Amino acid sequence: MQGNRLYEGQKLALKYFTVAIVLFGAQLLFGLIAAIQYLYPSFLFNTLDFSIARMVHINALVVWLLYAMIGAVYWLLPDEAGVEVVGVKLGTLAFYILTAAVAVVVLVYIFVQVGPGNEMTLWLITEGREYIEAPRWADIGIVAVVLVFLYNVYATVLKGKHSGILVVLMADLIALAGLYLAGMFYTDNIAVDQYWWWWVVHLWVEATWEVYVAAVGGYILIKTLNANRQVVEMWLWIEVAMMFGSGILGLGHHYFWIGTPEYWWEIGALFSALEPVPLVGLFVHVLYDWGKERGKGNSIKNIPAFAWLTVETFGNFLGAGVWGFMHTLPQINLYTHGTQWPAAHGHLAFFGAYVAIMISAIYLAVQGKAGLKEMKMTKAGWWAISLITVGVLLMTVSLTLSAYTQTMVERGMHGATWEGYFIAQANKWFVQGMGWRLASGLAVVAGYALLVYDLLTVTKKQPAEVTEGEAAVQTA
Amino acid sequence: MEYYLQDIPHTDFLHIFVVSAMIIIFGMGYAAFFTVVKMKLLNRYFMIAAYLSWTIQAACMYYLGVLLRVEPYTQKVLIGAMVGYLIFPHIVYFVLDKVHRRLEHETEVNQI
Repeated sequence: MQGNRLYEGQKLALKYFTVAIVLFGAQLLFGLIAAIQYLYPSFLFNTLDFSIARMVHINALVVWLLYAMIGAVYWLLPDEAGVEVVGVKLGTLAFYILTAAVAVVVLVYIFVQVGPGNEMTLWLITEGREYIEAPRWADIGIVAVVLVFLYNVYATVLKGKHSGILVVLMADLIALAGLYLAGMFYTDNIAVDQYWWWWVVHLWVEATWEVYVAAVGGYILIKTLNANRQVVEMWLWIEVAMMFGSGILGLGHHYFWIGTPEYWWEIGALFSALEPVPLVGLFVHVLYDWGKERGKGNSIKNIPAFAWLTVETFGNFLGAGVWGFMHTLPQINLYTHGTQWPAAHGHLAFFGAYVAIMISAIYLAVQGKAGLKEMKMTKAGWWAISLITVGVLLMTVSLTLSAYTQTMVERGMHGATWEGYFIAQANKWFVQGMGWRLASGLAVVAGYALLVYDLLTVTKKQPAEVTEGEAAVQTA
Repeated sequence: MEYYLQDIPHTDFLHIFVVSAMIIIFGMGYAAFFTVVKMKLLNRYFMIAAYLSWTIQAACMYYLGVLLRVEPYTQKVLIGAMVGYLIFPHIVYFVLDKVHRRLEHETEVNQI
């Protein structure tokens, strides 16, 4: 280990990555519980109901991705800016506060679960907004922590070099932090409340997070392939324009059925159809850089990180692009929303777009921490990436099978009635899809265990020619 | 707006899902073949596969419009999108290649 060569900001990044991986495990555990409950509804009934297991499953996903995102920024920030992170002590304090707050919120979710539905519930237990259920005290805490993070990023970049990647990140993080505020106020009208709530959920996931991924992806390409910085940064600006162009008004596909005016149907349809285009662009970009650098005889500096980046490119394309487009147009979405279609799309899209690239960034940090010039893939690493990727793909196909049954039986044949709902839930194809989803979930959990093992041991299992003459990559 | 969303028979659902997926998959096929051939990683005859992918994609898009019973405005938007997508990889590749050439030229000049 040559940890002494790391910037303090990068040491802080490692702390964020560690908590991220732990929360990733929590996400999988609660996902597994929810998957069992689909097949055996009495499992943990009245102890940890499906609504709670699902809530913790999704919130853990959002929070671990945020941890990993903050970690990745703290990792690349001093490397790109060429100076130590300004306010790193404040950042470390914010990290401990955030982690303590997350622990308290999760314990309240699990042991208190619900409140009387008054102001006290809103402030202390849950706000009840799907995906961002954190109580208001935690919301305010999150905003404070993010403000510290923003200060650190801005102060560091202003002090050091202003690379294109950092400038894009600076603009994106402002939008990312600002949009969270749209989910913090409460309105009595559920349609109005949903209108603003989607600003956080959609504009985070399909605009600001996508731009973030493009920036971090660019950094990983430079680090793993020695890709030309000017090409990477030029492409980054094109992607930013395309992602904001299609992503912002793509918001319309969430406004089809919540009581907003009907013009959102056309806006949502048009811009949702455009959303896969930047993903195709990202794919071409990675292919282009890989082909160019391969032609020059350059080797891949971190094979696990590059492998996960490749999974990101394909997974993002399949999950967000293919599975998104299959049910995004309002004509067909009328029959698919509220079924397992969004679940099938969401699982592969989140895995492809965000989980894979965050694991890639973590491998980059593992390499940097050990000071290796190159990092090869281990057997455990191959098994981990294979089990997790195949598991999520199988999960997506299984959920699609159940979703198709629901759409046909519940929506098409029984006209979205309660009777149709229960008939569809009991249909053997729906149940079989859920069974396969559970099996694939177990494969993902096995892959996760191997991933953790590999992250802890990969640097010790490198061939001799790689470890000889090692030097800190991030300071090279 | 009643005209905009018409009932779709459930017997069309499977076709709609499959055709939607094909649109995106052949769209990627077009971009991938185009890029790989342009970078000389594949024989230039494979460019036929690129344009064939786009043609299948366009046909799928047309069929999707029929299945969804879209109104005339959306029909025009879908056709416009397909024409735009035909041009899109050309523009992206042109820009990327220009930047690379300029950088390589600058490097050579600096070395001299």
